[in-house]
Amino acid sequence: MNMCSTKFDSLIAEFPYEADAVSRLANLVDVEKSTHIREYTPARMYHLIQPSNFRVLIQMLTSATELGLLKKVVRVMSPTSKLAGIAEFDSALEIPLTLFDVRTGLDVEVTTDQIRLIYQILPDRECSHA
Amino acid sequence: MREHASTLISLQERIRSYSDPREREIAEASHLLGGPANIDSDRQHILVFLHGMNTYADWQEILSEPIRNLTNLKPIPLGYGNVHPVKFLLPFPYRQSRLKIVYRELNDLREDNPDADISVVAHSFGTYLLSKTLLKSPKLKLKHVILCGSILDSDFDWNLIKNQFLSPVINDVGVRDPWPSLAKNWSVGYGDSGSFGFKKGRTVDRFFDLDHSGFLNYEHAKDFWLPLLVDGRVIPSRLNAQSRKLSYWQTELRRFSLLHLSTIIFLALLCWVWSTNN
Repeated sequence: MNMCSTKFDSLIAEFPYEADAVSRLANLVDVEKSTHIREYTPARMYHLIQPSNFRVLIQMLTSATELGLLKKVVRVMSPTSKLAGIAEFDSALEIPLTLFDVRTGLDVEVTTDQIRLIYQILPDRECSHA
Repeated sequence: MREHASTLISLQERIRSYSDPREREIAEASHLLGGPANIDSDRQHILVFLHGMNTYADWQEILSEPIRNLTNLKPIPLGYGNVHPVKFLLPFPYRQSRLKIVYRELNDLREDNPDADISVVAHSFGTYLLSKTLLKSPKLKLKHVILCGSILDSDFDWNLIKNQFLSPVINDVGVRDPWPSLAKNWSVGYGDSGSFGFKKGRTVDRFFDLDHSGFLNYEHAKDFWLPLLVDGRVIPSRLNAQSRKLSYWQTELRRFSLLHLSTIIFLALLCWVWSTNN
């Protein structure tokens, strides 16, 4: 049995009332679709997966992250270019008050509106080779 | 600049204030997405507690207070009086009178709150009354059904009422609970799903090293009921199959029934008659 499908089975066992949403997540995670890193914001995930509510979505994404199906990234964006990240962390708790922005060559004080929560689907995940 | 820093510090302090790692993840996402209002469902969710026999069920009020304070659930203790064990064992007429009360109350609650989600936690005799109520009222729609110390038959056909709740039903089983077996063996219409589980597709059996009322405390509710009720998340029990194996005598005692007793009395009478005639 594919390890990926085993992991999704355990996700369905954990969220049996969200089986449809888990199936949609499985389709999204399907590694055959892409060979590069794909990134989604929680809002985009909510739109694509359609769980009961946002709280359930975060629970599902947290479990999927623990299972190695996704990677959670907390990214600090550059204050000069909102599309460019200057650093990435596992949690907002790890973000220092100041960060060096290579684009400007200056230390910048981090503000909460610079922080983005991102979920990544990696092409070389453990389940893709099982 | 100082204001920005304090905002980040304040965000981190808010996240750190949650000791549970899951709640911390949710808090982090919630704050990064713009606040708790963006993350919680605003639909009203009523939680009905249905008690068992021979009790006035203080646990209903004990559980209601923290659940009301800490979640968006609205707990409602549903009572039907204290049913004496003798009345509990008799098939008629006491079961019907209690069923009428539960039927009326649950249907009234549904009618008064047409847009709310209603979930039920039923214990012991309450599981029997809930199943009968659902069978009697096909329009009664529930969200989650959690059973503990269930006295429903393990062959209860959940398909008959499958459209009235979200599958699966959660069945919390106490491996030190002999009462469902006793109810099955010493009366009619009851079963031992609270001792051995349903083992069916529409149910999830979770086994715990608990007795009949060991579920009825906030610790169990917090660890195993609230994740389900709030997030639809089924937390498995940590008890494995080997550790829940009963001893020979425990198994035999649970099998001992009214039929066994009647057979023993009958054989004893036969021996007595035979010995007096010889």
